[in-house]
Amino acid sequence: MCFLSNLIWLSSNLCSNDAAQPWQFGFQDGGSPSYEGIVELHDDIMFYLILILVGVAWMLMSTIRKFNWNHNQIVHKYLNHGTVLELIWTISPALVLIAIAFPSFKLLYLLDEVIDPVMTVKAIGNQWYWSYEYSDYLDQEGQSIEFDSYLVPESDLEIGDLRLLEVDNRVVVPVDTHIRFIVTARDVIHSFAVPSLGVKLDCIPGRLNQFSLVINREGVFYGQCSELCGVLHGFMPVVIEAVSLEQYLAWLSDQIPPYLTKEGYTPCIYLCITHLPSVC
Amino acid sequence: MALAPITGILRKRLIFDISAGLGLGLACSYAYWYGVHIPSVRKRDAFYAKLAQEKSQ
Ligand SMILES: [Cu+2]
Repeated sequence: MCFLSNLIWLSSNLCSNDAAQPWQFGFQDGGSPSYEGIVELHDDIMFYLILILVGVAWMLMSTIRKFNWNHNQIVHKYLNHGTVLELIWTISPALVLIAIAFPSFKLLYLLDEVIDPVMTVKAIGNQWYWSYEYSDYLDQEGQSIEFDSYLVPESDLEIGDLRLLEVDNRVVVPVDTHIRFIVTARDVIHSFAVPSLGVKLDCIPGRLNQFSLVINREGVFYGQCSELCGVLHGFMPVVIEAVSLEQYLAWLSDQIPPYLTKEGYTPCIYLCITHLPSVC
Repeated sequence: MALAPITGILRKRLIFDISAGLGLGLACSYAYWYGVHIPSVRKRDAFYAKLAQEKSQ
């Protein structure tokens, strides 16, 4: 009943969390161009899917109805060969596959592209938490911003917190900024995934994987480790908090000690130069 | 009693079934496209248009 009412409510008023919610049907609302691309591809494929579903269901029903023994007692006459039919059921799936393959490859190569990112965040999977490094900013000793991000246990949750999704330290990143994420792992394979940003990438010990991300809007985006990594696999969520550039710079300057970029700028000036040349 | 001619029945049925099946399928596909996909895109675009407007203010 709950499922049904949710289904009706969701299909009439589609506005989802940036996290999975109980009885959710369909996708979360998107927050990045790659997510929009993925949903676009899904919808494209869904078009053909419905076409095939209805076409095949019709043929099946019609075959059951017209070719049963009661209805047609010389049915065996037709049961051996049909060149036209075979041609149709060979060529039309091929055409459908081609129609699906092209947008699919286009999206695949687009998602793979990391062009000229403004900042880099490194995410490292551990059993069973994530560590993050902002290696663009260094303090006087050459240390970059580093922190661990653990699940908030149920006993510490506050009202409004999402159970098994909230972490103590979120990844804070600015919106509308080209960010490069580099992911890896320290022990076993993990997978860095945030559905509403269209992100899922394996973190493999000894290897670096990368993806680029532009977040379209402010918000808190939740995800979970998506590669079975041990007993607490389900208890190492990812939380990305997208904030405005000003708030991001405030967050950066809250990280003590004071950090400079590799070029020796303060993060504020550096981001200004790279991100807002029109303002500087 | 004379039997009805039984030639060409399969072909006729086949053509009818294929065109009806694919026609209905195409109709459902377009119903999905214009009933679900396009409205969701429109909703999303409206959200971002509103966001851009709020930002520019
Ligand atoms: Cu894991």
